[in-house]
Amino acid sequence: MSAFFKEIAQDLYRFFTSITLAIVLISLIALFSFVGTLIPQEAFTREVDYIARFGFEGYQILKQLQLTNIFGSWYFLFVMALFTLNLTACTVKRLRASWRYWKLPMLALSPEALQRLEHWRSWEGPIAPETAQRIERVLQRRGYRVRRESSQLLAEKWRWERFGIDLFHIALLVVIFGGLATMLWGFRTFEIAHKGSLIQLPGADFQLRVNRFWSENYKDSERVMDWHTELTVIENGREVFTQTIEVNAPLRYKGYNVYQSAFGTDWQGAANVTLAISRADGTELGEFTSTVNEGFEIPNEKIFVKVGAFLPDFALTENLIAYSRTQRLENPGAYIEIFDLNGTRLMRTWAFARTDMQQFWESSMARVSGASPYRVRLVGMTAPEFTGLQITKDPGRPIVYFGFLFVVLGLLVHLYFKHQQIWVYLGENRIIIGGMARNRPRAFVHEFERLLKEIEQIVPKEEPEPCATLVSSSST
Amino acid sequence: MRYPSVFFFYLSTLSYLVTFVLYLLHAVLKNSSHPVSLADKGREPRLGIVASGAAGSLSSIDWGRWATRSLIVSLVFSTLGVLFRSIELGNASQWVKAFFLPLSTTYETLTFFSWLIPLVYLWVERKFGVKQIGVFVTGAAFVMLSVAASPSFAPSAPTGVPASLQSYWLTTHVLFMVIGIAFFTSGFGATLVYLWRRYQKKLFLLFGALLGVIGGIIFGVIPLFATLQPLKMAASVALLIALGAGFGWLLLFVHRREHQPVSWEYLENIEEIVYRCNAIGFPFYAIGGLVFGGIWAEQAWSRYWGWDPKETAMLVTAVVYAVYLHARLTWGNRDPGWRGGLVGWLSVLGYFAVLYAWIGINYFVASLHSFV
Ligand code: HEM
Repeated sequence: MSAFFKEIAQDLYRFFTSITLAIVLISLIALFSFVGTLIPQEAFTREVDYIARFGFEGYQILKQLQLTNIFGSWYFLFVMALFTLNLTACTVKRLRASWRYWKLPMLALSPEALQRLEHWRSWEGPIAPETAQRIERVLQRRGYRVRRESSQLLAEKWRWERFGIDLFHIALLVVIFGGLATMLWGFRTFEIAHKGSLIQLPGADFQLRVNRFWSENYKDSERVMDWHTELTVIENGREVFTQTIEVNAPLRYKGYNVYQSAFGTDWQGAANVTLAISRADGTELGEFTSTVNEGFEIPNEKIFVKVGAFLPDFALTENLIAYSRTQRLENPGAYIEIFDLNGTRLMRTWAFARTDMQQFWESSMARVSGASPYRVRLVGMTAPEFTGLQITKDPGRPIVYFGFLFVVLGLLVHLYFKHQQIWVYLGENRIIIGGMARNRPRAFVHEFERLLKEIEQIVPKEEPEPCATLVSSSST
Repeated sequence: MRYPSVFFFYLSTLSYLVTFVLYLLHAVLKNSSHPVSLADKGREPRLGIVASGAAGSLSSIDWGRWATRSLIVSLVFSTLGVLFRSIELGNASQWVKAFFLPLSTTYETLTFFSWLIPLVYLWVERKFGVKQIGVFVTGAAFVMLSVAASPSFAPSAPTGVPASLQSYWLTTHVLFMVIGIAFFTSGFGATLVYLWRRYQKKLFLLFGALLGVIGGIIFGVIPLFATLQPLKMAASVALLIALGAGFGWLLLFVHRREHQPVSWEYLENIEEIVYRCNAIGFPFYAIGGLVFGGIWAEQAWSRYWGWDPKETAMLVTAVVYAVYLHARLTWGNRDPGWRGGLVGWLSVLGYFAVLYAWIGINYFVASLHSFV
């Protein structure tokens, strides 16, 4: 029985350590991500924009297939999980191989073996007794660690370089876990704040007060140079400090981050609308002003008028949901409900500022639901400015940056260092030098040539035998 | 002239065109099927040997040398252009941050790319001495500058840098990515040379299939997901077809002149160049995109990663190159079978991903990044 499990475990290990699996998984991740770039994702797209673009049916299909949230879909997460396992397994396996490599002693090679290396050269002639020492010094000056073994010098450097790519792969895992930590324990909100607002952050023992905010233009230009918000941190009723944030310069305090992220006029949240109301027979009842989500009574008429919503750029989806196409004041509309004083709704309608919209709306409403008792027109609107603050708490961030650091280090090591080994064979009348660099046969040429130039100063200068004239080889 | 940079960019447009023609002449008139050794660095490579059958008067000129000279002249012009543009942009932005690279509009990125890509190529040429790659690189630089000069991007006056771009991390991020892309571009040029050699006879078929796939994606797949701007689309497709036709014609022309089979050693060496370029480009691209881009995005938008279309496309690109590196490592470059070829095609795929992430995405998807 245990042999059976052992076999399964071995199969699993083989499966998860295969680079073919890695290539398949990475390709799948790339494919899903590519699809994710083509279909706008929920995180930054409103439902109504989907419907406007794909139609109601199309949107339902996309949603069913989880294509509107592909990076949170079960199949993407499944592939990511497999990939993490794969990467972990590979890293463990490779790490063992690297460890074995690290422990591998550098062995002396026979002269014949040396001449089979990709880079080698030999000199013939009587050898001065101190030659070995001088060559050793040259090698040491170039950063090699030199060991003597009978008639050979064994020199090598940067053996640890092999761990570079392991470090890189481990750092990738760290980054993935940092991202996971952000997903699991992080939090983010978006606050629309007005002047003087107090913001209470969930879980925090301090508050933020928005003192003021302003934008600054380039000189003689309409272009905005920056947006600023001045914030004061208040802890236990005491002001701790005041800081002005701007785009690219957030406030950071106790693990919370506050970013300048939007700026504008708060039409949808806090517009003040002025309505002209008249009876169906044309009697004017006057103009009234109210904020969104509030209302007012007209005592003489015994009605209560409620402003349900305000859209600065009114539009309808194909299934007749009203939404604001943009945040600019292009086609303002207010949703109005009128109740009697018992709370029974008498009518509901949209009031528009553009006369063509108003006429169109009234005539279509009249056709659909008959005459209504009152007429409501939108005659004025204002709204306060707001500053949009993105507030996050992100415990994964330091982990991710820590991972980043080693991703970079690992790649640099992998790129710029290669384990290099040099053998110097000192025979009776002969010196053979051979060398190699791991995985990098060709680039080693230059290093080897430079070394030879220095060593040439040391070795015998006599005419060599004709057939052995500076035998050198550099390519296979 | 009010903006000297515009003048220098116009000059370099012309100059790159001349350079391109010179590289083309070099590639077409010189026989290049002899082995080239990478150890021959610095010396005029053996590629330069005149084909025995083609010792006409045109072929006796050393076009390659003139091409390189012309490239250097073009680079001087575009370096001046970029320098002036930096100063002009700094003035327009009232020097809010001490130093910006001119990378805040499409015009600026295109001109900046057409400076850095040939610059990196010059280094590659010095190191490896295979001048055929220059045909693609200088051609690309010329196309970029022409697009930049076209009315839709207009050599516009520099304007103040938007708030979200006022960050040193952004500068670092973009600079690294452009260096990465520059190496990938040289690598892609080398890939073209490599594939052209590897698939002598079958190449036309393959090239046609390639264009078919691109065309299919552009006409079939992407409109399913996105509403496109018809004019821009038509222009890009026309450009693509023109490039494809030109390149195909060139292949046909060259193919007819060549009789000897290509040596395996030559192929391996070209493949080595592809690998080296991609392997150097990868860390620049990946670090610049994923690390520095992440740090900047965190400061500007409150998250280092948000699956925004542009950053996702960049991830896809990095991942495709990672697949390339792994595939080459496992399957090797010495494989004469289909796997060796597949490694080459992965390099092509990687460069398409670069183009998609860099240019394509701006047309198809609304994104936080759409300024570049
Ligand atoms: C997105 C994820 C990954 C990236 C970006 C990545 C990147 C890299 C890079 C750049 C190299 C160096 C290649 C070269 O020398 O040309 C490498 C090597 C390697 N990777 Fe990955 N890798 C990833 C995932 C994986 C996974 C999942 C595995 C396990 C199957 C794996 C196994 C290896 C191995 C065995 C090497 C060999 C290194 C050597 O011998 O020099 N990698 N990786």
